[in-house]
Amino acid sequence: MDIKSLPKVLYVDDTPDARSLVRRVLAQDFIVLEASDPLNGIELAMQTEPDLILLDINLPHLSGREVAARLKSLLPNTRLVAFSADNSPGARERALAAGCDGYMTKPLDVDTFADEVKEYLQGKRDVLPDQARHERAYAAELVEILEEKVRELTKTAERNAFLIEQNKRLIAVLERRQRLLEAAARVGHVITSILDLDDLLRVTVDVICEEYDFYYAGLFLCDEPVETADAKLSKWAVLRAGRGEAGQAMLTNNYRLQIDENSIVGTAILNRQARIVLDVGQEEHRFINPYLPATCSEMALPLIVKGQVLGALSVQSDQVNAFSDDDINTLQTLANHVAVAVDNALLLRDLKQANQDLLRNKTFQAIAQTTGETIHWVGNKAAPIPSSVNRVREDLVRLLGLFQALLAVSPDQREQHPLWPEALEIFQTVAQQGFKLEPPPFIMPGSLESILEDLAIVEQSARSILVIKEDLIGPVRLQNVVSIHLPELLDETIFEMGLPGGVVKTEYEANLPPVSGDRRQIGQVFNNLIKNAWEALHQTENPSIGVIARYSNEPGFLEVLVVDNGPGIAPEMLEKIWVSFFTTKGARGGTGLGLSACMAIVNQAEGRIGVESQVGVGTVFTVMLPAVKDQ
Amino acid sequence: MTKAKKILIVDDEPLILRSMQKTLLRAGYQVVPASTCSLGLDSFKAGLDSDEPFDMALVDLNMPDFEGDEASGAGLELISRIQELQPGFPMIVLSAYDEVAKVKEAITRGARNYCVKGREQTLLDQIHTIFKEIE
Repeated sequence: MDIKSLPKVLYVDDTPDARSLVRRVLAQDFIVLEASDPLNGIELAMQTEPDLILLDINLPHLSGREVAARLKSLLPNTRLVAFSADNSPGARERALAAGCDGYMTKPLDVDTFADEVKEYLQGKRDVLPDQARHERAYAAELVEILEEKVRELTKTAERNAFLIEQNKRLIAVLERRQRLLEAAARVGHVITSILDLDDLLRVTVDVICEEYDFYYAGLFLCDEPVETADAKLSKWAVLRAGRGEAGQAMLTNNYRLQIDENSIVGTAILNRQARIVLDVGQEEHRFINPYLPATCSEMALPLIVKGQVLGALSVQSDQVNAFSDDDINTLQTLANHVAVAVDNALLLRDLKQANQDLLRNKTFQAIAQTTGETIHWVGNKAAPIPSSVNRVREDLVRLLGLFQALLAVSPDQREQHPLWPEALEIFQTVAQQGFKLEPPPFIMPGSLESILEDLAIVEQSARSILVIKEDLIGPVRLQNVVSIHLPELLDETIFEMGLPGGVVKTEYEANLPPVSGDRRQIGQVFNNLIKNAWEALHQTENPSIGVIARYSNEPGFLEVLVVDNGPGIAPEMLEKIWVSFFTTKGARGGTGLGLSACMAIVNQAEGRIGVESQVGVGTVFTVMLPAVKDQ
Repeated sequence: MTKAKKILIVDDEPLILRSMQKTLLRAGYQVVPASTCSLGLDSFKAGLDSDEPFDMALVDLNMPDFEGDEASGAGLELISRIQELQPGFPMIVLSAYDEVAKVKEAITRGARNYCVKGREQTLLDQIHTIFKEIE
């Protein structure tokens, strides 16, 4: 028998066991198609146009009767038989009213089932006694169901719209958060690779403004802390980088804020926590920055590293409520990165400075040593000159005596004079030396004075060389290392200098231990420094010299500061003052050996000497000396 | 009139040596110059063997050593050798300013005093003082 000529039966049921049973029972006489749910069933029915559909009335999703009604309207010529375990009263009637041609009940009877199906195929149709009534009831029920469905669908649609809106927002928030995190990571990456402090600060504000779309960002660093009785406190937050033209203008004008509660930046630094103002119009006592009039919301985040506040990051927006929690969180993370990077840059700067100082000190030591050796050599060569000059002068006088004695006797008597042989010998020596003795073409006026003057010049020049040699090498020649009580030595030195009263102000830290060194030499160093300060002050209106003795930052050392409010030393001069013979005093004297000798003495005492100066403000010389260890 | 005192000067700087020699000659001393440690020691020994030994020696601190090699402070060695030959023999060391340690060493080896070069008047005074002390 040709399989294709067999009638097609579609069985829609959600239980696999039921489908398997029906398939076996009908396989002999029918082509059995199966679907496990009503939607698939309807779809399969449309594709295959079966001759009969067996429909489980109790199906998920759609009620069996709705499926029945749908199938009947789609395939009016296909026989539709309900196959249900529902034996309750009215179930059969409702199925038939929904459009089914027949109603079969589960469980199926294996012996008769195929025949029953065949009967329906051949046109059997179960008829209800009061078909019309059942159909009306079913229609009413359907309307009710449809209404309910419409309500449900409307509700669902509304809910969907709401959810979509929610999702959009969430996605936007997530995207922004993602972008900010990426920005923070980018800034973190960029800034940790910058070692130059100014570059670092500038790049950071630019990147923040670009990534977060704020109109201004600025970075403040605290100035050098001032030591008070209780703690070290910075007074000012100094702007070190600012975005755009406003930032440039502020930097040009050395913009800074006092660290107090009058500014957002000051408050953030003082309280060590973020300060956020979402609407500056609401702030009563807000400090208004004239450079940034458009600011509507503002945030300051402290830069904290190793428990220390280095400064603050200021972020400003021209919109109110510009900062979300995400902004604040990621910016604080960023501020932490910046703090670490700033700290690194500061450390590196200090290290470089220390390195330069060391190099400079070594260079000057080398110069001082070379100069010393040179002067030593020159001095040795000059050593015989004064004695030679003395002898020449002596001999000149003797020659003149001879000259006078011979002139005193008449010419014919001269050969009998006891000094005549000596005179002859002199003339012979002159001839041997190759000099020609001829009468001068004219009488030189004051020739003797000229000779004596020249001798004096030679002698004086030689003595200067010898004196300088002593000045330079002399201070270092004797070392009598003792314990020196600095305040006592300083007071003594200042007293002996006899400067006008009130000029020198001393400030000694209490209970300083002694330092070790040669008392006389170290005293000379302070004398020299104070004398230099006093000479630098000769045109200053209110001359003042501060002499401070205190513990050095470097363990094991004390330091003495000699501070003046004089004209200061130009940076290009600062390098030269340690070199022998350099003097800023011009014609007002000084051999220029003072500071190089001071350096030699301090270096020999295993200390260090340094200078800082600002033109128009003054100069500070610092002498570090080792504290006596057994204290 | 007493016989002129005889002084040995040892210095490798010829001009300084000559200048000191002239200064001492004018001051009435007999002077024997020597330009190296070896020559100085030879002269001293020759003096000891003669009937005119030296009365004093002036020795520069910084000279090449007895073998002629560059060495700073070979004058110290000369002082020791002369003191070995004649303990207590009066000597003055000639030095530069920054040689405190070596000067101290020279004094412990037997030198009576030290004089900074270029100060020949001071040197004359010191020589005079030492001779006065001896007499």
